[in-house]
Amino acid sequence: MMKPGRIAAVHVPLLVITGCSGIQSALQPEGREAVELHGLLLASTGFSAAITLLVLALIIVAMWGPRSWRHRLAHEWLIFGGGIILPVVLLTCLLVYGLVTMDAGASRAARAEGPGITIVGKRWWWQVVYTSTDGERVVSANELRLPVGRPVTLRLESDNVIHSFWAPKLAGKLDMIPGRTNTLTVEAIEPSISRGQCAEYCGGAHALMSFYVVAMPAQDFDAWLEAEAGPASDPQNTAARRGSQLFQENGCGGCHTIRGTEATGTIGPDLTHVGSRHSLAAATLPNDAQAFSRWITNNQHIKPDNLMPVYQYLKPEEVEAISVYLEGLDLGD
Amino acid sequence: MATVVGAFMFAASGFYNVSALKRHYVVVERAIQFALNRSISTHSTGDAPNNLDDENLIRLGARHFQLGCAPCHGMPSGDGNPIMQEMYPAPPDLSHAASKWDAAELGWIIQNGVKFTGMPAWAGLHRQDEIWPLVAFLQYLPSEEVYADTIGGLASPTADETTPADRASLCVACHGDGQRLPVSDKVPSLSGQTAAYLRRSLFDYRADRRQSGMMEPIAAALDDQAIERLAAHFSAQKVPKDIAGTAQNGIERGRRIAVSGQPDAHLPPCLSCHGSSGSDRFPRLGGLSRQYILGQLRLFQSGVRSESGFAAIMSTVAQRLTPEQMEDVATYFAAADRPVRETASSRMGR
Repeated sequence: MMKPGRIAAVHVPLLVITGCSGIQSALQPEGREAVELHGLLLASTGFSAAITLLVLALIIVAMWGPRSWRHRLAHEWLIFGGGIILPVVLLTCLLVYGLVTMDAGASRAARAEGPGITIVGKRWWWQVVYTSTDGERVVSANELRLPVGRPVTLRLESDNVIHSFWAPKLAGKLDMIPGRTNTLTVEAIEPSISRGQCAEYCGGAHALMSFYVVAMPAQDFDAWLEAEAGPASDPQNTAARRGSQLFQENGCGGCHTIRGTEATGTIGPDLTHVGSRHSLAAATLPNDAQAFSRWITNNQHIKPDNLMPVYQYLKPEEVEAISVYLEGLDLGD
Repeated sequence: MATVVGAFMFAASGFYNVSALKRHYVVVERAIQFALNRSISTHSTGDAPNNLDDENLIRLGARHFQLGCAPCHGMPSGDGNPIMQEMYPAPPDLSHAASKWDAAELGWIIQNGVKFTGMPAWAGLHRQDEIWPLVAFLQYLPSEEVYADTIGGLASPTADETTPADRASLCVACHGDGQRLPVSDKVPSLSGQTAAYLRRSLFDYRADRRQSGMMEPIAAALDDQAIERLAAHFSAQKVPKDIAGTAQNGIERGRRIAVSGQPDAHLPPCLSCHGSSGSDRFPRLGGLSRQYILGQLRLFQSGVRSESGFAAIMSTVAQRLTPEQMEDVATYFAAADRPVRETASSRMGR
């Protein structure tokens, strides 16, 4: 099992490069639901494969087998046994297994701890709202942090079109439908970083609407949430201070919130601790100053038709200062 | 085939005389006139606005007429420039243009120009809204004494004007100054506007990044130094006191959009950029006329004003406004005070 510090140190792009081996693979489950779904997948795939092989074998025998075997296959009992009794028994077994698995999810929903987390599908990113121990809303984006071993209720919503929340290593998909709240209870079983994806076509940049899931030991999660609930860190150097000033002057706060500053916009992602996240632009870019610069000046190329205008009038050194400022908005880790 | 070869031989011979002194035969002239009239009548299918008797349009039209039209067509009260009158065809006296053409036809001619006559198309691409003040003025024209009154006091700038105050007299004729209001509610007051924004506007007009058949020719004649001086000159002025519009319905709705935006429509607050803590690069909107703000919002929304990096952002935002919201916002800002600008030095002092 990896230590959380080690997890934080893992460089995300490295994980992306090794992508196929599992950062977004339902075949390597790290959540209770995903483990159960994985079992169901293996069982039903196994059943299906066995039945297919059996049928193939019978066909071969029926066509080319010895006369006595073919004679035996011509009996009526095979039709009754193999065509009616066997499917009824096997499919009933599968159905019961499936129902038991689903009920396990329902009973876990009843055991869910804490206030839960609200995730709202946006164009094309995810607003993630935690609740602090004081009951305050803690707004973040594009990253879901979970305490290991605690079932957590995710309230899935949308304020535009239908999205679908899918963190393959955690659980199955669930649609986010405008005007209603779907709930999904998930439980991470080991500290890890995995990736999720919008699984319902939601417009041009649908494929670029992803997120990271960071499962951390419960006490680490509590400490993180307390830090996340706090205001943004002050800019640490001249460039960052200049960036902070430019951020305010150029109206960025009309759409983005940085708690502890004048920026209180709610149209775009909350940037209070953006520097501590594992990615930018909903897991589209790495999280570094260069990526911030690219996004500010060229975001319509990176994610066409997203709601943010392109800031081409800013001088390169101004963009750099803003990027340095934003990259520095971390939790001091 | 023989006709084509014959025509080519005729052209190749150089026999045809293109001298402007050599007039067409009457029959040819009639034929050309006929074709021209029919063409304009057929192509001018758009509707003219029904407020062409609005004084704001007429006065603005009169100002531009003097700068943009009179050099060739002459002032209605006097003869045209003798050089231009030797063009063939000669630019017609426009005193009675409105009795020959209807408003839609006049608008079409001003916007499109006329081939082979020397009449240019409008310099501001897609700025149909700038055409109507001229049409309004032309419809108003036959009464000469009123024309003199309308034009009244418009000083023509001369080449030896070197101080900003002198050079500014041309600007003041339309935009007003610290004491005088703009000549029309279509025209923004420049007084107390940020120098950075005034400078950028003139640079954009000069570089054809911002479209206006009225401002582009004026900006094209200014060098960098003149632009700097004018920007500093007007930004240092006080906003004329009575420029704030009268209170109207919608001020409160407009104020909400200006202060809080409308997040569910992805609409940021106007004041996040245009407020007193915004960069000097962005214009201050308080005290601009309602019609001007509304007109510019429509240009942003339709994309006519979206070429510069700044305009592209405003264009994106304007597309999220409903027509009613544009009116409310314009009403609010027209009635609002122009905020006192924080200068770099006052900011450092905090």
